[in-house]
Amino acid sequence: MMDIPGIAPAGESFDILGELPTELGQRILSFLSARELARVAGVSRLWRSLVNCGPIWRRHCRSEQWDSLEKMVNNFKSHVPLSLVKPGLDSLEPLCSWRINYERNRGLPVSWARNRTVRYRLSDPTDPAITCISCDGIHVAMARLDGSVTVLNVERLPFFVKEFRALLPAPIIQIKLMGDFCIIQQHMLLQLFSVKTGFIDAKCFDMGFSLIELIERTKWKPRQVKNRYKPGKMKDVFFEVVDGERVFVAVRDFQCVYVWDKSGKRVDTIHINNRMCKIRDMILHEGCLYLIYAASRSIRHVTAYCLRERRWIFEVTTPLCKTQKLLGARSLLIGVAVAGPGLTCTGVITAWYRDTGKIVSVRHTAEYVCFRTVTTSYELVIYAETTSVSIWEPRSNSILRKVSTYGNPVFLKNLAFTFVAIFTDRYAYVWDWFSGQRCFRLYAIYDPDGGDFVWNDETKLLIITEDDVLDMIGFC
Amino acid sequence: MPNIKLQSSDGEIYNVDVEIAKCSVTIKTMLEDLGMDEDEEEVVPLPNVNSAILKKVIQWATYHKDDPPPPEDDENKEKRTDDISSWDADFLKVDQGTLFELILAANYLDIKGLLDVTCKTVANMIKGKTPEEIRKTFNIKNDFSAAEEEQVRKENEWCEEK
Repeated sequence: MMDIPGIAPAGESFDILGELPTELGQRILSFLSARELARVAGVSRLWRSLVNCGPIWRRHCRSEQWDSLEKMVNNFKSHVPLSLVKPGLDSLEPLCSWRINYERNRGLPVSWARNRTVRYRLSDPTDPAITCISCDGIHVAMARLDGSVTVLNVERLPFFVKEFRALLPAPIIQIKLMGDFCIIQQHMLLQLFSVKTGFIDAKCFDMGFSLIELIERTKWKPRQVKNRYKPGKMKDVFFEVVDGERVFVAVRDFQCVYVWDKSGKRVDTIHINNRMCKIRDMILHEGCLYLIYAASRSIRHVTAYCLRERRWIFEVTTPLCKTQKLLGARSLLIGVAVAGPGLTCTGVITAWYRDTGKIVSVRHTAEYVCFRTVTTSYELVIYAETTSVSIWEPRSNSILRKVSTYGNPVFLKNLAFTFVAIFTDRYAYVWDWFSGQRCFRLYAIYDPDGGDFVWNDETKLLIITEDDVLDMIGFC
Repeated sequence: MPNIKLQSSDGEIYNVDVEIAKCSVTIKTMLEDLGMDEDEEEVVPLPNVNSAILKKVIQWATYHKDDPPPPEDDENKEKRTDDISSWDADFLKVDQGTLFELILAANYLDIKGLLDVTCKTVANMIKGKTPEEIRKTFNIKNDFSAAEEEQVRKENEWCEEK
């Protein structure tokens, strides 16, 4: 061994961990338990920074596994959320996020191992409230009341990818991620951001021009723009992203769909044949855009535009009921109308073939349905009525299963084929499709009006809780 | 059994059985990369290891030459520190300076078994001690200010609760 400066002569004690290269010091620390690590962090600044190491804590986050569903359920029941908001001193480096997650979640059934339920709090109650979220399987974007956006990598939580501010200091109404790009709606202003480089362009969708042009022309600063726009209604602008390349934007009062590329240019405009309509919903499903538009007070049309052939392929009307919401289900298109013919206060769910618009079957529900409590899985439709959840197969027009729920579900989604998550009284319950049994309750109280719930590849549930915290719960 | 010669930083040469030397991944790849013929009496220079430490390393490797290869690190597996064999424990009854250099040598020579056992020994020196006791053990100065110490104490208070 060469002489290394700073080493005490043999026989004397010295700071072994501090003198060793960082990775070796951390290797030694990786043999300690989480409790020991926390204690060791109090030795000196150097030791604290050695302990403050993501991979070490991540190991502890992962190692606490639960061997049975029962154990997991009991933990969900008994757990009281811990608060871990500790204001730090500027002179000390902040604690690494895995450590914070460990402390927050210890005692919870937390594990990133497969076949487990795992939950992560992606934000704190002290942060501004989350107004909407978007998840594309790789990243999750959280948009907040004050116009800030946080992007995290789902697989490498809680490592932070990017944080940026939207142009206006206003609530973000909608957000959608498309690979490295992110589109944001504030009022009637759509903004395009690159997750890597930041702001690209913004379009004002009640005036129809680019904010870049606007700033150029008037020498405004983006922050001054806020007074120029009246807040739009929640669902005034619909947008869908195709192939991570193009954004299709439909505005309630316009009779066309704008196509915007990711450099901020408007590349196409798709006109709707009816010049008097108002758009009520738009979805993208299997390469086609499906729109609901209202041409008169009582008639809603459902129309489909094929993106590949660039033409409208069919148009159907739902004369006796007002279809509010469209859903895709493999080869079927599902329309949900809250009130049935003659406003008898029952819902109507219609299934069309997605390529021809021919009706497959129509289901009149016995009780009121809400579009928030209708969901699809493969070619099945799952819908909730006042005290029950039914699984309906449109092709055979039969109810495969009906489960009693003892309460009025306000939100419903299927998860991983075997579970149905139902939110009654703002508690979330997980039900087993096949046995019809209630499996367990998630401990937090959710805010059904608090924005989006995201299911990503049917294994992850991202949910905004009543205290404006985003919870991510994974099922396998 | 063919031997190779290992030269320490201070010029001492040790004659070692090739199979024993090969428990060091560094030496093993060096031999493979250089295509050193095992019959040739080549000298492998190890400029990062002095003779006292090299002697200890060879002593350890000789004793452990028949051990199965250590398992790969598994992030999910709990790491234990109480599985040090009594021979290793005796072997590592050395002063901190030697232990320190053994860790560096094991890392440089890439001998996972030795690195693990030395790291575990240090970890055991840390275990079960209060920060003040750890400072005493390793002769560390407390360089937190009073305010910082208070914050660190708050950060870590959860580890004291039952």
